[in-house]
Amino acid sequence: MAETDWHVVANAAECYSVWPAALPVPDGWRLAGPTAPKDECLEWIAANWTDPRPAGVGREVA
Amino acid sequence: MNTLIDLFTLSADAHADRTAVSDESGDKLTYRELDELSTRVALELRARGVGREDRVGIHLRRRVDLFVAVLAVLKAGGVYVVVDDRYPEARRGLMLETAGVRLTLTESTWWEQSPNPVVWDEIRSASPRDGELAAPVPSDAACVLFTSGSTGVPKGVVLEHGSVAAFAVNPSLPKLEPDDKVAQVANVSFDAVHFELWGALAAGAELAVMPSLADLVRTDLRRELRRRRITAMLAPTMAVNHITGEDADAFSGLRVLHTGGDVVRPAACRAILGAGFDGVMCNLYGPTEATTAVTCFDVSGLAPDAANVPIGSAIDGTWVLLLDDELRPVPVGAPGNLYIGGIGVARGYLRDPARTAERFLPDPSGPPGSTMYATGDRARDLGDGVLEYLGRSDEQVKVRGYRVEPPEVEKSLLAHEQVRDVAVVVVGSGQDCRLVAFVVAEGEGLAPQALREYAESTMPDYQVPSELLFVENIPANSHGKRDRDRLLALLGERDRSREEYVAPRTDSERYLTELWEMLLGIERISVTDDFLRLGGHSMLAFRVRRRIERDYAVKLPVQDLLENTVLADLAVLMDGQVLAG
Repeated sequence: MAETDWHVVANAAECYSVWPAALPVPDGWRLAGPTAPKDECLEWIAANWTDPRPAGVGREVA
Repeated sequence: MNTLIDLFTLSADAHADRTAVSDESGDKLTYRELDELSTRVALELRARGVGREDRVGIHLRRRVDLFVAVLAVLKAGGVYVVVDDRYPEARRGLMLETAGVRLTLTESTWWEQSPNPVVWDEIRSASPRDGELAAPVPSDAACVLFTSGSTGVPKGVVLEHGSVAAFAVNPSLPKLEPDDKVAQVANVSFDAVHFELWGALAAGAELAVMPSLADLVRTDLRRELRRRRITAMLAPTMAVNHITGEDADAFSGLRVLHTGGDVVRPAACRAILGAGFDGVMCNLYGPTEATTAVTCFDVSGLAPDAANVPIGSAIDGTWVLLLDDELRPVPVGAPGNLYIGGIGVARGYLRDPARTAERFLPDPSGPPGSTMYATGDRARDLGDGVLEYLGRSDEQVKVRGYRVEPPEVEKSLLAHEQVRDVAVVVVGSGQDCRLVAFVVAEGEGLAPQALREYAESTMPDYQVPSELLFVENIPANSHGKRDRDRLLALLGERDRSREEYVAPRTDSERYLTELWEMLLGIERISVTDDFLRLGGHSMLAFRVRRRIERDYAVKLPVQDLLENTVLADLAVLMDGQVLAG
């Protein structure tokens, strides 16, 4: 069986996460990167979410 | 939504002259004193550059001033990162470095382990400054707490004011009152401190800083709780599970007793409830990442024949989703992966975007753009939203092709009345993996063989551990969770010293094998085994001697016992004495 694909998604605060490609993307989230096996999505996020600071002054997400 | 400062200010206004925090040295502060002192320190922190959402390390002994520092950091707009003084020094330094603190409030003697240190006594006694403090908002970060990572390196979890404040005054939990005295026993880097600290301060109650629960148990828990007139506390499950008949009344003076952190034994709950406790006892479930507690079960509702204690239902403002591996809801009653949504969900892991993205997923049932936390726990809905905890999903293993969850095996063994505590670990991997159970027996007289027969009679054969190893206690790590690495190390040590197995050949060898197995709590003892290397010591040698004396009517000099520590040798010695007698 082929590995399930996941989307890289982001919300309005520019926080990134992953979501199964087979399900509708929840409200408030949009596609924001590759659709790939989960591990690859997480690698992409690690490489691209280098400034985890959501919109809003001085708020450091994590 | 409130901030922690909102909650504190309400209490400080309403209960200005009540004691807010006290410790073992006799030091204490009223709400007014705590308010004024923390404002003064907050202004000093501002002057030293602490601003909105700056992380500030608090590296102080567990005493009244530590809590002054926590409030001061929040009033300055900062985020507190408290490192408990019971961690090894090197670990404390690592935690503060990991957190990237702007400065660290520290004891003068801990200067060197503290990044950007500021000595507490200096800042506390600095002359007052004028100035305004900008109040934080509920979506501001309030604290970084640490959880044990699977690798043993602590992970920083960033929690917001609104999450902690909502937990502190959650209407689904027993309400604390200004007359309450809440014991502060938890590790202050760990999430149980939320109940103690913010539960107390939000209620106008007194936070009583006490020795750790382990120390209290070593002295006299009941006496110490009475001495400080404690009415509410959160006792870690590991401690509650060790409560037995004799000390079950230790908590009987409490009005509110929470337990959480592990799977609580029904027998321990029944012992406590049956020992004159007439307050409310709750089994709390929740990871640090969702602010201490997400579900709550009132233990007085435990069925008389219940084999386990439910974790209960979601508390106000939070919800639980049970989903399959593709994030689809499972039917009611079916096991599912437990996800948490709502007010308690943390912002994420400090400086770890990939892990944050992996564990904090879009919440399909929450407000737009919100996240739910993937706990890695499994549970099922018993109906009406009451949940039964089924263990960790990542501990699932297959033994001989069958899916096995060690916590489930633990629960089955715990159902034996002479088993006080048990930890089941997976040894090896793939096709070679097997289960080993570390068992703490209640009293004496539980033979490994008897427990094995019990296990075989109650569990499918693939769930029965290949080995039952009796131990004094289950080692815990600094977070109060089972220390799997130490358990495995224990097993490794044991295995290295027992390379070959020779079954007993004579009656006396069979007798001694059974006797050693019972006294040492080890299965499958070989006649080539050495008493001392299996953990035997002189007190146990005396007991071996007494048993032989009773069963065979022969007296063996202790010296002979200590010189013949290999089982087969002792059997020969015994046979010789029987013949001579």
